[in-house]
Amino acid sequence: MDKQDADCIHAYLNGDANALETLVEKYKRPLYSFILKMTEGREDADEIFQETWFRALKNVHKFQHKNFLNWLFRIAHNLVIDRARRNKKNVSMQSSMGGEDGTNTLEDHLAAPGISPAEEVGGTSLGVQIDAAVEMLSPEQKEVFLLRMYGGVSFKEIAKTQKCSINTCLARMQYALTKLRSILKEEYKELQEAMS
Amino acid sequence: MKCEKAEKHILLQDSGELADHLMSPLAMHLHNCDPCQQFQHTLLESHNSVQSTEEPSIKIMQNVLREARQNAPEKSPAAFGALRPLIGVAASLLIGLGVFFSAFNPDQVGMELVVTEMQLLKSSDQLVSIMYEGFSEDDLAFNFFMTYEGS
Repeated sequence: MDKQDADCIHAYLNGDANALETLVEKYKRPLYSFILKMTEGREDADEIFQETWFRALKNVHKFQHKNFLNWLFRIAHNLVIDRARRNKKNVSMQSSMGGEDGTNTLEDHLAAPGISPAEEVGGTSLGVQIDAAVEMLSPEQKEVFLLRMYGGVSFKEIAKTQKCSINTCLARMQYALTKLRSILKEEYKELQEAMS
Repeated sequence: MKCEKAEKHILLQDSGELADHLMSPLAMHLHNCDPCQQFQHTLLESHNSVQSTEEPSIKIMQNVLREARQNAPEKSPAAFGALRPLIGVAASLLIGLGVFFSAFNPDQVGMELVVTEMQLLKSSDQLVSIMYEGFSEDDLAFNFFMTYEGS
């Protein structure tokens, strides 16, 4: 485990109430970015981020993981799945009722055909295009990609989180990158030309 | 090496999980394979483009930090908890030392028994015991003899 992380956790468990502040600050961006991409907006992401930390605080005395951020990602992963299941249940219930009360129906949750998220925000930069391509991935593929990009989580750890084999995780990442390759193709060509 | 396998190896190399003996076959494959080079480029470019810049709201951060302070374990029990094994060892050591020294100093054990016995006596008897304290058995016998001799 990272020495700074281990020291903070040790100090916290020994009664230093402010010791975890460093870790909350250190990991807020990768954790929040991951949650935001896996959920449906800031409100959901805020709630899940808070709940992830609350659960981590409750169980920090039992923490025996090698990597604290991986552990946070794993908690967040479980919460995202719980939330998705709950939402699915709500949507299907409302859908079966016809959604006449103006609340979400199944159709509301589907992306508008032909308009990518990048086009919706009018962005054309590479980062925005990649974001848009990532949005098109299946939840599992998206998660592997985001865990690698935001957290630098190893495939071994991702396999544990997703409860699948390392080979499956690699295949999901391959698929994600193959999608991105078409976006980055032009840029790659330019780079090759510049080098030759 | 086939491209599909090479792509997996590229991913494992990126995460630091590729075995050492597979490094050089991968490098050789990459040297001659344009699609795999492109795959690697996509991976590296994704790392550069996907930045974690989003932050939770200030209110949420405050909630988390407040919860962390409130949930912090108390200092003394934690310290005591950490010292608990040492306390056990120290107690065992003290008992061991007590047994050891009592075995080599039986008089002291005898004295302790006398003291305990004295505590069981009535206060008037305790006074008599204190009066005769410090006399040897011969002195006491002589004293007793002289007392009755006189009467």
